[in-house]
Amino acid sequence: MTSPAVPVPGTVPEMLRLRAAQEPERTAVIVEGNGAMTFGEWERRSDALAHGLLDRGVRPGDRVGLLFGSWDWIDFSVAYCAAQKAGAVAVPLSDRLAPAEVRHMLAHCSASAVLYGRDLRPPAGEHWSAAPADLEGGAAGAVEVRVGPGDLAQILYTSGTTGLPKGVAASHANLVFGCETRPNRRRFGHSRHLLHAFPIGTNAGQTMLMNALDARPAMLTLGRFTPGRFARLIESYGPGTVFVVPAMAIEFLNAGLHERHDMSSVLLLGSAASALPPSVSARLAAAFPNATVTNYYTSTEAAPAQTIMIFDPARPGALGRPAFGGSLRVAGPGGDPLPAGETGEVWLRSPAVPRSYYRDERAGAEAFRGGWVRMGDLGYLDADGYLHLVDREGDVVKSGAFKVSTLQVEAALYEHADVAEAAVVGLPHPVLGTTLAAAVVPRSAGISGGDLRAFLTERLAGHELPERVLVVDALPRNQSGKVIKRELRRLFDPAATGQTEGT
Amino acid sequence: MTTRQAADAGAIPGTAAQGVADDVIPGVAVQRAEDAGATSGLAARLAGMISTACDGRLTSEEILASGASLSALGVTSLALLRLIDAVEDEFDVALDLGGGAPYLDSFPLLVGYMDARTP
Repeated sequence: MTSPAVPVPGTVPEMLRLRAAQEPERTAVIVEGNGAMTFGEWERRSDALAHGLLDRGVRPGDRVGLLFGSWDWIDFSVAYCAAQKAGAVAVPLSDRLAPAEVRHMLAHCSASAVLYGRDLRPPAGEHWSAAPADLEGGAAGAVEVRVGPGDLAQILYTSGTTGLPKGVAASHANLVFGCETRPNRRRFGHSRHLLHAFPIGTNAGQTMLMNALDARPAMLTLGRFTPGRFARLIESYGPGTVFVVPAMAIEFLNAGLHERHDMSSVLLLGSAASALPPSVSARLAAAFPNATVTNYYTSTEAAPAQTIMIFDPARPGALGRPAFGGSLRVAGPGGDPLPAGETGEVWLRSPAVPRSYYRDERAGAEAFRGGWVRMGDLGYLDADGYLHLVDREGDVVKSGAFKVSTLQVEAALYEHADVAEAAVVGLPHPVLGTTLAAAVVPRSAGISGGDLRAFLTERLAGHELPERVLVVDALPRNQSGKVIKRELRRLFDPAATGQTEGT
Repeated sequence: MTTRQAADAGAIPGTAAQGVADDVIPGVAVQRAEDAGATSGLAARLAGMISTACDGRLTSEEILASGASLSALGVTSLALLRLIDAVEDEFDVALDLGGGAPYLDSFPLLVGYMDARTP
């Protein structure tokens, strides 16, 4: 038996239009304590806001910054689709970012406008800014702007290896890849609600927005994640699908919340953003008795290429095999595939039109190779083709599943007038995987870690702030003057003495 | 496989209070935290909870003496979300449901906020 023909959307606004026509009264997005929105409302409001953007002079191809906090997922979802309906490129920006970071991103993509959410104000710049409600009062109905699959739809900023965030550009064709619009084939069909707590402006967060558009369950999220609130949401809504990052999962388990709340509704527990440690997978499988624990491995650059792994105690550390027609390679120095068991660079190839770095050809040539994306990780394939990652030290570390460039943190420290030298490393952390530690040589006495952190809060997001700051007389360097990070890390050993740890 | 990918970067949503320098903390709040007799027990309890949330990296004494922003003090995003859950459990007061929570900008402000909401 075949399903009735349903058009395949070529753009994100077409996905919304189709769903709003199919199920106008169905709930699309719920933000606990902050309201809900149906597909019909999403369509109507984004039409009105698109008119407002066009009236203010936004033109096809313009970049529109979208600065929203997690409590504002509903207005963000409206603004995202409205910008694209106007033919513009949506640039989601998290409220977690420091003002200097937002300024850099808006200037880098030459945003012409910024839409912002409740309790937030964008920094001044070459753009105009408005709250969505200010622009929704005019014309209604669809706007007359042609948007095609090849048009740029979204730019997401992510930490790169050179210290400055990179803008990762995706076309509509890339974003709508794999969209499933047949009512009886919708994704996560076992669920009425899909719960997540990914921030706006991250690839995981954007993926959840795409799920909200075409999957069966309503997207359920909350203004601010805590393990306790997450557990209460699971108990009250009974979501069939829950997405976490490992750090959330570890906090959740350590707090013992599964022992006090009913977790039986969860049938799929997905983890993204960094690999679940095998011991955590096993604990999750016990804590969520009916759930299939699944790990997803991709990156902002590589999506929708990914590997998927259903936790298998026989292969506890495996990250799976490529899914949805994408490809996986472990590459040697020349880019050639290596045989099973040999460690090399992990490359993924997207089954859809690949993404690219926006206005950064040099970094783009490094990261994107003939349709392949270099993931920046080392790994190997086992005999059955399952990917395993190998730890290594690099300038980009994952802290709580955010990528953080230690070079960017160092650069921010060097902006302080009293900092003569600075070096930043990642230290092992039981929940976050890695936490940041900075050692600073001052120009004059009297500078404290607290002073430096206060200085950095204007320049770096919360997850980029060093948890530990050490004021030292000199940094350990080798003969050529390079900081020896291995020795630097030892300075933070509890046994090391003689330094001042600033608080 | 019928699931779309989730992806890179997600993390602990909920950020450490974004930067407020020492000099913008209202003196009145500092006064409340340090001097008000009825508040001192609450302040000590909250300082202990923050210290626990930080895995002991900050001592209660350091926290009690602090007027600077919590993030400058070294209270991380992770510590903050632990604190929020601990406060909800113990005092039944919800901190930061999203949308700005200036009382999380410093310890004195937090004590003042909690003092107004607890018997």
